Formats: sequence, structure tokens, C-alpha cells
Amino acid sequence: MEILLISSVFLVLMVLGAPIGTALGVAGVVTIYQFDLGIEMLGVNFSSGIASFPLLAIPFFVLAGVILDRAGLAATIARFFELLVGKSTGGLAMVAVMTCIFWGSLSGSGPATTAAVGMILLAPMIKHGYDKSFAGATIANASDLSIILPPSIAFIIYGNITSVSVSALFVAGIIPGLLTGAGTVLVAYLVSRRRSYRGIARRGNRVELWQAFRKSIWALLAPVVILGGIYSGIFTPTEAAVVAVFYSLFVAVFIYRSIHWRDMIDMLVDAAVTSSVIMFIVVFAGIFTWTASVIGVIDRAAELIVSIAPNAIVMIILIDLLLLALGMVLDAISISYLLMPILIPVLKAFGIDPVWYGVIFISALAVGQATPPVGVNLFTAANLINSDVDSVAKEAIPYVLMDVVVLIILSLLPILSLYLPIKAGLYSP
Amino acid sequence: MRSRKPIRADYWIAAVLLMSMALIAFVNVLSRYFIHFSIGATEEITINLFVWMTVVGTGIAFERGAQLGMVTFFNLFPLRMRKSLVVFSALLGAGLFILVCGYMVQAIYDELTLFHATSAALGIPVWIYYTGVPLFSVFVFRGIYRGTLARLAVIDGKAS
Repeated sequence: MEILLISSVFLVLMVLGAPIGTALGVAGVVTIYQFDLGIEMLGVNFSSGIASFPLLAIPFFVLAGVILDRAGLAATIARFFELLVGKSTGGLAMVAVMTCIFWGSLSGSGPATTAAVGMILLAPMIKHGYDKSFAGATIANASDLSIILPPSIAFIIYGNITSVSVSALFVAGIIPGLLTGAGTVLVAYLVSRRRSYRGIARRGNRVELWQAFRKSIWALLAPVVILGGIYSGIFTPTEAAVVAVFYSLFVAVFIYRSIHWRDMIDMLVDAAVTSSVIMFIVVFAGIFTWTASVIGVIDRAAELIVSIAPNAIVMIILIDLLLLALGMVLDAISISYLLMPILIPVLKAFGIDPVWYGVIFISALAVGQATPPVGVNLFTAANLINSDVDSVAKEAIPYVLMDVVVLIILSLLPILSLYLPIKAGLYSP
Repeated sequence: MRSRKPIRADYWIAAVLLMSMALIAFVNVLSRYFIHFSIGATEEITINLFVWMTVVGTGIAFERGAQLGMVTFFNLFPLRMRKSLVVFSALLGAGLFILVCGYMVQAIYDELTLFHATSAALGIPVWIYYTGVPLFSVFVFRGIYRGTLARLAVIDGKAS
């Protein structure tokens, strides 16, 4: 009865188009009220669901991303990669992927990366004869990397739910992220070769390359500062995030001189809103899963999974399929909150490493961001080129297939995810 | 491009809250690594400003129509029904925040009259941190109201 109530209220509200946070919150509150689980704590729980130091990394990383975006850093970086690889076949497509990889290591959100890189590179790609849906699909898919490569909001959330060290998760994402990135560059190249998308006319000479490098060095250093600090254990992710904010501000105001103090209010408001959209889901998802666990849904669902799956590999494959399906209709944060509490006991039962599993979990979700009907990156890209999601999605198929191959490799080889965090001394399985 | 319009109150508040959070956290990092003096207790202020900022930001997000939701099925419904659904989710969202505020006010009252609890790190009475939620929720209700009017106008635009 309890289970029926909480799940049906949530599902009905989702189908009716209520915001996810509202749907989760109402389902939780109705169930708490109906079964007398302590509704009077709602106010205080709302507050304590947000007031967490690890989650503080979210508004800070978002703010750093907004500042670097306004400072026009995406264009500087794109120019550098263009001089580097622009001339070869599919040059601009590869430039787009590389810029996304780089931007992904500054920003923790897929749609933000799609927007930042798309604004810079979609127009030149289309001008150089690329099919516009292919151009959109390339950027939408490469932007998936933002949630695998650190800093990643998805990993912060995963760490918050599972109590796994976010530093370890960030570092664990590096090799898988670069591997996915390499795969994406390869697909961009192969498709471009088949369709004979030429590179741009000439390669930059050494002087130009050096100048572009010098101009982008401050931007290129940003991930080194952020990641280096986390990898060496100097900063917690939240501290790294706040350092990233002031590094970006310094670079934007004093080096590139591209933003003024007057722009600050705008940027702060945008970052506050983006972070609040995430936190609105986080806080009510927290109340929802708390309720679900009190009424025993979580335990029963976990037992069900353990009883269905004969071994860990089958379990991982089943959940991967579920994630790919859910990723098409829901955002990464809600899915993490809906599934991870159920999966924690399952991981324990099968003896699966939670950091390694985090990488697989988030990688599977990342694929979902670039698959229809709801893939958020696809929507952003389709909007930028005034096209419909379906034609962009069709062009994304080769990328999605490659993503699935990488996902299988990551599922078979835990070492790819665990080597760096163990080596950095951030994690011992 | 740059308009000289005065900046809205909720924008000011959100911006000042986020900037203060960043500044406090940054000073904390600097002092910890460079003068080896931790003001870790200020963490408490940062995370509570974060709560307040989230409330203000949620209001602006509702107004901008930025909240995430599933539109796949919603877009299949007839226009008239979509209008009722928009109003329905707005009422649910507002109802949710009315409950949050109501129980928060109750908690503040209990703190003032019964518990007198103080925060762990700085010894500040916790009700002070609580007050931000009902106070700034004013922006949430306004945001839901304005955002709903805007969405209804978009649907009306499609109908005509």
C-alpha cells in the first residue's frame, strides 16, 4: 500500500509534466503524512538536505563555469585546437570534440558544455559543409564527457548518496573520461572521412600556434589547478571548486579583461539559479528516498534485484540497460537519487566496488543525456541549430554505439577506473 | 546591450549570498594553507547561506521556467488540458513550499520557546538560520506565479 502510494503519486505527477522536484516532494510528503512518519520535520529536513559542505561544490563549480564561459574562454581554446588539428579530415569535428573534452574538465554539466561549445563551433562547422545535425550530434555527445571528467556534478551527487569520497570519484573519472573522449574523436574522424568533410584550408604555422597557446595557457592551466589540487589531496572538491571560482575570476578580469565587475551580478544570479535547479531536485529527492527507505521500498527493491540477478555481471548489465532507458526520460540527478539508495545494498551483496561502480553508473547516465526523447544535451544542441531533436539523435547513433563499447570496456576492466585513485592514495578498495 | 535598469531585489540577494559563500570559503582555504589557521567554524555560515540562496534561486528558476521536468507526455495532451496541468503543478509546487514554510515557522517557534538550541560550531541560535527559508520563500511564491502566467501565455500563443 505504502509503496503503491509513493510510486504512483510520483509517476502520475511526472507524466503530467510537474517539475521533477515537485513530483518527488509531493510524493514524499503525501506518504509521510498518510503513514504518520513525522511531517513536522519537513521544514528542518528541507534545510538540512541542502546544508552540506560537499554539496557546496555544486554552486561553486557552476559559478566557475559561468565565469569562464562569459570570459570567452571557449573560443580561445577552440582556436588553439583549430590550429592544431583543424587541417586534417573532419578537422572541425575533432576540434569540437577536443574543445568539449577540455570544457568538460572545467564544467560539470553536460548541457552547459553543449551550449558553451555549440555557440562557438556550430556555425563554422555548418559553414564548412558539415551536416548541421551531425555537427549538433557531435557536440551533444562529446558534452557527455563533462559528467565523467572531473569536476562532475553527477559525481558530487553520487558521492553524497553513497558516502563515497568525491575526490576518489573525480580522480577515477579521468581515464574513463579520456578513453570516451578518444573514442569520440575517432568516431568524428571516421564519419567525416566517409562523408569527406574536409579540414580547413591551412594549418597554423609555428608562430601562430605558439601565440594561440600563449593566449590559452591560462585557460589550459585551469583544469591542472583544479585536478592537481584534488589529485594531490591538497584540496577537497569543495575547496577546489572555490579556488576554481577565484582562478576564473582572476583570469577573466585581469588576464583576458573580457568581463567587467558590472557583469558580476548577472553571472552570480545565473549560477545561483542553475545550482538551485539542481538543489531543488536534490532536496526533495532526499526526502523522497528517506520516505521510501522508511516504508521499506528500498530494501524490497534491493532484495528483488539480488534475487533476479544470478551474479554481479548480470546485475551490472541489467542496471546498465535500466540506466540507458531511464537516461532517455529523466535527468542524471533524479536517476541517481531514485536508483542509488536501492543499489547500495546490492553492491554490498555482490561485493562490487562503489567507486568503480560510480564510474560505470555515471558513464551509462552520460549516454542517456545524448539519447532521445529527453537527452538534455540533444535538446540544447537542437535548439542551437534550430533543428528537431530526432534528426540530431539519428546522427548521434554512431557516437552512442561507441559509448556503449566504452561502457562495456569499463565494466570489464575495473583497473581503468581504480588505478588513479588508488595510486593517488585517495582510495583503497 | 547593457541596460541601466535597476537590479531586482531577489537578484541582489541571490548574488550577494553566492558571493559571500564563495568569499568565506575562499578565505577559509587561504588561511588554512598559508597561515595554517583554520576558520573551519565559518563552514556553518556558508552552508546555511547556501540554503537561503537555494530558496531565492528556486524562485527565479520557477519564474524563468528553468525547472526540469518530463515534457514528453505533457506535449501530447490537448492545449486546454495543458493549461490546467500548468496551473495544477504550480499549485502543487506552491503547496509544497507552504508546508515547508509552515513547519519551518513551527520549528522556529519551538526553538524560541522550548529548545533554545545553538549551532555546533559557532553557538549561534539555530532559529536564525531557519528564518531565511520562510522569509525568502516569498520569492518562490512570486516566481511560481509569474512563471505560470508566462507558461499560460505561451500555450495561448500556440492556440491562437
